[in-house]
Amino acid sequence: VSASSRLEREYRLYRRRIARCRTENQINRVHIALGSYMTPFEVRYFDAALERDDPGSISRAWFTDFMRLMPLRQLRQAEFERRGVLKGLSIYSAQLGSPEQKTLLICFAGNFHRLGLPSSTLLDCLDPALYDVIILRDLSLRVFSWGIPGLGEDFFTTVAALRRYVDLSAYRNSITLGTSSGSLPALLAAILLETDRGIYINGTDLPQFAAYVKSFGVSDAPYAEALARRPEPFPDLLLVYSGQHAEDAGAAKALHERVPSRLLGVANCGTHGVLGWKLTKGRLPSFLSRLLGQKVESHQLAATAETE
Amino acid sequence: MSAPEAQLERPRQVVFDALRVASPSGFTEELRRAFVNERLNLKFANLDMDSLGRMEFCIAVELATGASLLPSQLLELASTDAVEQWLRQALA
Repeated sequence: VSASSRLEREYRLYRRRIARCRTENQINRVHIALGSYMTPFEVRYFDAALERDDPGSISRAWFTDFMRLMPLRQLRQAEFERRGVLKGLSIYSAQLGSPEQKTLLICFAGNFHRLGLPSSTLLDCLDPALYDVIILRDLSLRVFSWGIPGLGEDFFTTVAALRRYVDLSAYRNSITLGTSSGSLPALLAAILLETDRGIYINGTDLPQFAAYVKSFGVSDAPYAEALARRPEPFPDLLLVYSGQHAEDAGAAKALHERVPSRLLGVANCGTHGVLGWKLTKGRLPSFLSRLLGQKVESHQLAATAETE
Repeated sequence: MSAPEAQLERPRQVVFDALRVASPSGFTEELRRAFVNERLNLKFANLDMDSLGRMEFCIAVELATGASLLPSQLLELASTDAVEQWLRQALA
């Protein structure tokens, strides 16, 4: 099936789904879900197809917004394609290059099953020739402690099962990244999978996380054990927090005392959604380069300072 | 997340559940306890809830009750007590 016929089929399915919606909330629900899964290529296709619609339609407004939220909007030599392996696991990869030329980015979504941004915004910043991206979603809203259906029934079996879908050792390097409730899981996954880097963005410290996990009927002991592991080489752990957000700053600094890591405070940012805040400042791609320690558009190293 | 949710009357329970979905970081454990135990009236402006959060809040209310509270209406209601009152009228 060609890419264009696949997209046209997806678009027709979308139109039928929207036609069945009876309330504004139902329409919003469909678009919020799409925002968590779509690639830049899909967003551009849908946006172009919707040009035939009434300029005041809600669908057009949503896709105009998705387009506006993509900072680069570059046409790529090859585009990210989504492999929807499971509802809670999507793999984004372009038919270009080989794993040894690419960085594998394993993302643990936070609120609303996203990384503080639509998936198309994040992917738009990354060169598909250089990155493969996995997005894991906590569909049970239990900070991944109940696992991901089809992958594992708890956090640890879920992380271990990732190896069924991807060969980490084949990649040039691998990085985990998590936002909000996905932050500490991303950090732990970096230690468990022995990736090169783990990025935590505005998450919780271990005691609060342990309290959450216990309230879901899950033992917190394995989490403390995982955080205490010190594999060699140890991943480069980066704890990012909004400098003007007392709760997020406090959590990152407390966690920094528990695990070898580097702190990165984002000055003047008082919002929990730091990636979205960077987007509004027009600095999301360069900020991502700093978090990843390498450019989003090349393998050139990017420095990570103590403050941003 | 450990607040005694079961003791809440129906409209307040709906608001409590919607807040947990819509504002996971702003609806802190401390606020949850105060909401349940002290019947605290929370201002949405203090809940770290963005436009997406407001949409999620309205979706959660509609899924739980069938009542269509729109994000534009939520902006006008401003607090949890106001939403509860709106819900009582909508469900009457």
